[in-house]
Amino acid sequence: MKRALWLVLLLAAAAAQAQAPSWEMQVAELDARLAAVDAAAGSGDGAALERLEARQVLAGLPKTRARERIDAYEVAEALVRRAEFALKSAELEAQLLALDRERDGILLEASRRDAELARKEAERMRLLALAREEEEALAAAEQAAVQETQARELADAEAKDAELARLEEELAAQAAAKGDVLASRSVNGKPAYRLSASAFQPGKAVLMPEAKQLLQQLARKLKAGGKSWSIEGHTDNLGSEEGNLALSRQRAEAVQAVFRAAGVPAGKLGVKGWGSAKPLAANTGKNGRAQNRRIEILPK
Amino acid sequence: MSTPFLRFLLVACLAAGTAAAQSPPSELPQAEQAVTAARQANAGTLAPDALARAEAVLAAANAAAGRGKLKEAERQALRARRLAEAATAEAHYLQLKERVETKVSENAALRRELLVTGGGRP
Repeated sequence: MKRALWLVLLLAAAAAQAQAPSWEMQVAELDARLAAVDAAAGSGDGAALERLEARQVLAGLPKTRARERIDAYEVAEALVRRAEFALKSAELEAQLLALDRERDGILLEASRRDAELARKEAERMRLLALAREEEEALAAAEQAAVQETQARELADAEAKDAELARLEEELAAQAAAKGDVLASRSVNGKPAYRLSASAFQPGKAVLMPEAKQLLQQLARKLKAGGKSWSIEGHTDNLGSEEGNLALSRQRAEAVQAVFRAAGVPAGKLGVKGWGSAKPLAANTGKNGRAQNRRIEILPK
Repeated sequence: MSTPFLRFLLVACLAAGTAAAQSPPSELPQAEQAVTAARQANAGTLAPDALARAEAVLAAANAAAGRGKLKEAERQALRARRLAEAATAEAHYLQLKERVETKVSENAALRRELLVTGGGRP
């Protein structure tokens, strides 16, 4: 009976031992873990102290007495674990340094890019300003050229007008002196006509036959032009002003009557009598007074 | 050698042995320092199991010392110290890992903000 009991106990102990990993296997497992750490560290000195301490403890592990094995295993495993974490930490430290450098690189790159953008923007603004200046200069030059041309043309026109006016005056004077009845001239570049006092019977508003014929010829011309005209009578300053006003108007109306009879529409003909109010020359001499007695046929 | 001298030597050796046996284990303060260091490394949050094991073993070491089992206390203190050191290493590793992950995200965001969208400085 006792033998059977002992046999059962021995078998149970053997079974328990067979199920638990052997001491050698546990040590080998720790050895393998430490070897992996060493391999990962390579030739570097990452976690060197931790690996050394773990290796020393593992070296003494196989000789450990059976009753101390649990504690010894726990200490060795803690040392191996510490070495594993220490090596991983060393790798992370290196990674942190690399990340710091990467951040610096990003900032540097961004600064370079900002500087480049600022440089390009400045260049763009400079070119814009340059273009604007050129544009303004061109516009100013064009305007100056236009103004110069206009001024030149104006001066030319004024010179021509002055020359024409001078010629007209000369012609009028010559006509008056010669006793020409009808003279043409230009007022502001438009044709105008002047009828001398010799066209009328002295002191009356009755046209001489020659003058009437000339006016009929002129009427055909005015009718063809289709413009409006103002017929203005003038006298010298001899006699009363009332009489002069009446005579100047009556003479103008006499001219208007010839034009209307020749077919010029009445609506295109205006009549005025100025008397002696608008003399052409001084009324002091005979010639001057002869010039002042006249009918002006002016474009409206 | 005379007998009185041998007696004296025997008594002195016994006294010295007794004194040595009664002195507190030298590993105990180191173990306590290691556990404190682990707590300061935030192992309570980052490696709670490892720290709890170290603290339990330290408590066992202190208990053994209290019972006068100094050799046992010494052995447990050594275990506690090594376990605490492992807990500290684990906590340190996890802190670094978190810092690396954060920095990777920050760099990616920075790159996106500065180099892709051309935003202003952080």
